[in-house]
Amino acid sequence: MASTDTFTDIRGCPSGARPLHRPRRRVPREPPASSFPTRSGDFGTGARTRTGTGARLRNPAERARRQWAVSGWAGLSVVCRPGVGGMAQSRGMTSIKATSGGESAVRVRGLVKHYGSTKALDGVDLDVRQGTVLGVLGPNGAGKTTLVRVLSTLVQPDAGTAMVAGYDVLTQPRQLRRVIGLTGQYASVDEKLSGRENLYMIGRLLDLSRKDARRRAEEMLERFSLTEAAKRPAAQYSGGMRRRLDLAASMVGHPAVLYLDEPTTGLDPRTRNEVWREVRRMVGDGSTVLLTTQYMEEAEQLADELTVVDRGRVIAEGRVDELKARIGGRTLRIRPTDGHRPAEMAEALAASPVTGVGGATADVEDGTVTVPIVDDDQLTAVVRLLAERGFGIAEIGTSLPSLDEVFLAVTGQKASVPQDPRPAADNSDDLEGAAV
Amino acid sequence: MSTATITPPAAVRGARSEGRIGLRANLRHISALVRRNALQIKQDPESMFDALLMPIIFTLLFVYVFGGAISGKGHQAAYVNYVVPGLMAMMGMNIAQAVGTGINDDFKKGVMDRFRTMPIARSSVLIAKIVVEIGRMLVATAILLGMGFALGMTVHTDVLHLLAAVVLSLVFGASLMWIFILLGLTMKTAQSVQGVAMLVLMPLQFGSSIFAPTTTMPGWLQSFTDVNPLSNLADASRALVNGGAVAHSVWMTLAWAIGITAVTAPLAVMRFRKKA
Repeated sequence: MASTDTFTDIRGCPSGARPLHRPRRRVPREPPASSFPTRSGDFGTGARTRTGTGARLRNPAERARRQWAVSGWAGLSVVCRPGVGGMAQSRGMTSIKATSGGESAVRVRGLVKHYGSTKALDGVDLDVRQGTVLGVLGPNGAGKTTLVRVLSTLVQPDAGTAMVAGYDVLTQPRQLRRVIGLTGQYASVDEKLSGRENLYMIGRLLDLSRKDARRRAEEMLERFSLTEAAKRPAAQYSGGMRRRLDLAASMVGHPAVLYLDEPTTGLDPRTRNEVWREVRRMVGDGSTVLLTTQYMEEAEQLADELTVVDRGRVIAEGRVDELKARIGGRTLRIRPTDGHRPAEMAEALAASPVTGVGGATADVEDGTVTVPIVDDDQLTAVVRLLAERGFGIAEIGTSLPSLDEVFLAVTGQKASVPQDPRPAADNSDDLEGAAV
Repeated sequence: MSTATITPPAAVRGARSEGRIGLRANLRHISALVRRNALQIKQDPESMFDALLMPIIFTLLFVYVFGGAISGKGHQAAYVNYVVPGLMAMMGMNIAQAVGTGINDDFKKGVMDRFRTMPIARSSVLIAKIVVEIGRMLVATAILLGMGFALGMTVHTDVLHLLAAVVLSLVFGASLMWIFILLGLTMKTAQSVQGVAMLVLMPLQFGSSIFAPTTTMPGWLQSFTDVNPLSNLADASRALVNGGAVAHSVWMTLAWAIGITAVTAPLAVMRFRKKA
């Protein structure tokens, strides 16, 4: 969790200020010792993240952690303040286009692809800014894979345009193939060949000399921890090794733009984490990534911006935390110290004159109190009030709705979260289209 | 940590800004893919069984089951000289057929999609397949000839003519591969590719002069066997090994090979490019 926060936040800097070529240096993954609870189960809901949009952070430990993470980029010529990006952008469907200063590495407009009467893509617009990760989130059959196949020149669109690194998918497919890498359930390696031979072959196909292809293959094997298995045919690899080999194969050519089509589908949690780690490394190396996924958690973990698709249409887009903020309000979660019952705390809050705390509820099972956040001053007011009344606070944090909730809310398939009226109005057209 | 030693992609891009793939690069890609197909065989030696065993089994079967009936008891040796050049034609076909199932399989496994998103000429994948299959055909032909010689075949002309016969059946076999590639790209499963291939192959092989002279066949069948390219090929290689007029059947075979390639190769490449 912690690592993602730093990650998202750093790349949330105004994109104009971001250097194009990032230093090879990694963002430190683990923050220095912090009193802030880091176990994901602390508040009982693993699905929720305890981030809060950056600029609004009130928790000193959290703030310190982020600043520390930014200063960890010692090699960076531009150091940006943490958390600026998230709030700088306006709300609404056009937010990315309107405010992004960065160049689009992938630019898609009005993309249409029909298979018979099935509209796999029904007018998709999206942008992936250089050096960022765009998550394309949607259920099975939403058109995610068709989108990736169009962008990697495997499928020709019926209408619309798509540019990748300045090349048009329709008119410049050859040039385009030079700058992309593809990892998906389908774009695979040769199962009969060993890991090493697969990578060597790809190096040769990418016009590396024999020597360079061999060296590059070894580098990739080492980097993806496959050196020991290098001689074995890929068919004998475990699921995780296989996926790592797929990733390695797509990285041989230093692609400027990388497509990851459901990279962790069908993997167990441990292997999934391995793949995530590798993806973060790739992004750290400066790749622009378009990631499709049906897992909210994956998008949350890896993406800077999100495009939610359903039935071939974009139904929502924006920064991850922004999107979450639009759908449901942030909540404050407080765990009282032993000896204080959550119910009493909730009652005390609800009865208090502080604005917006009327909705305070106790989660008995969890042992926490949840307070909807209406404005920022409320946080301090709540803490002060609890102190005055003599309640002890064991843990406190803010959380946004999980992407599961976001997705269900915007697709209208299951409105599990009370919706903010504003985004609902923004998206009404799309929702109608999607709900047919 | 990794990139310092390798040519950066920008340089590669600049050198080939128009995106065309040059001849030398194309050859390099094809050789990398040939290597891949060869390694596959190394990894899965069973895939060579057809090339290794078919010539042995077929020669033994035809010489000893049909040889006596066709050429008279005790005259099997004469039949060897008749049937082995014909089997050379057939061998090419049977092996060419494997290319279709192989391509079909590659698409299933997803490795094709990787190739198709790489900056290589898409035909190079197909050409590499054909090169490897021609290698397999060569192996099968060598075994076939070895069997033939063991059973008493003699070359009445000379080694050059024998080689010419081998080359001719390879050329014709290669042209047939395009048909099977097209089939492999069109049909849904490898099994159906094989099924359809058998349906096409059986009448062509047996309705020809490969196994027996056509003179005893009814007129309608003779008119079929006369235009059957396999008859032409069998006649040509027989004439090249045993002596006799070669010109007509050789030219006819070459015309067929060129014709088949000219029609099916572009179709196959197009299908390969468009296959979703």
